[in-house]
Amino acid sequence: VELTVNARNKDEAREIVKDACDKLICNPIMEDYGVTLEEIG
Amino acid sequence: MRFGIVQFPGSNCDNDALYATSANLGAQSQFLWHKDTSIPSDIDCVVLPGGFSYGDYLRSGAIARFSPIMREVISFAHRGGYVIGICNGFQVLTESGLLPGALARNSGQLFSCKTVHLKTINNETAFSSAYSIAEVISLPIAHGEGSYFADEETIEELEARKQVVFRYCDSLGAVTIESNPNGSIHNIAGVVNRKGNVFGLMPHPERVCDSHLGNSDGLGVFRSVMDTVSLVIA
Repeated sequence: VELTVNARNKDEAREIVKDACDKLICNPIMEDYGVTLEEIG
Repeated sequence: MRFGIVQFPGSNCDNDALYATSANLGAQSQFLWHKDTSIPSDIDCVVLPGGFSYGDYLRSGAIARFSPIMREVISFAHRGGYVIGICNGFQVLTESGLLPGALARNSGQLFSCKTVHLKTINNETAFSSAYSIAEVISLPIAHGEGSYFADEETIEELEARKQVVFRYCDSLGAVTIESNPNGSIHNIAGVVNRKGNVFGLMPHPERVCDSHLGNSDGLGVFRSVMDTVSLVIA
């Protein structure tokens, strides 16, 4: 899953993505996830 | 007795559920729209039907969980209202946290569409009281993500509290690996929550409620709820 987020820095970007994974993108009962950040623009 | 059948974008068993509960069972039944922000006060049981809610994007039931009606269904369940989730509805219930566990992709990785046998494990629930203990019934399945999964501790708790209502079995009632169509742990086909008012089932009882179809084994699920509600009201 690729997400594009607006953030001031990598830590903030990671938090936004992590929050999205925990609330929606991932079902922790049967899935796990990792986050790889790439700065664009 | 009045059933409320939720219609999500992508539901495709909503009319079957309405027909089964009204024409076959003889109860009152109505649709509830996914954007509804309330459930009528005379609804006794909410049914989340099968289908592909919101296209099953991301993960089955993951989007439906956030729909306006689900906020009301969760509140309804917490107040003790009866809720049945069938197939995609079961997936919505686990995603919502109303039932434990999750429905993972079938062990064979393929969509499975056929008739299976179920063994009644617990007939002391509001959703199975019309069946005899160990009674074998035949219901159709049609799913790609129906492999019931939960961690070991949760499974032990479900078993200890008799929350497993139906298991996949063969025609003689033997619970075997061969009779498990999707790889569900302990051949689990249907579970009830700890409080006993929320039920999830992967097979489709609403599709076999009319004797004209040659099988009315599914009617017992809805009859059980009606009997239970009648007892509560009486």
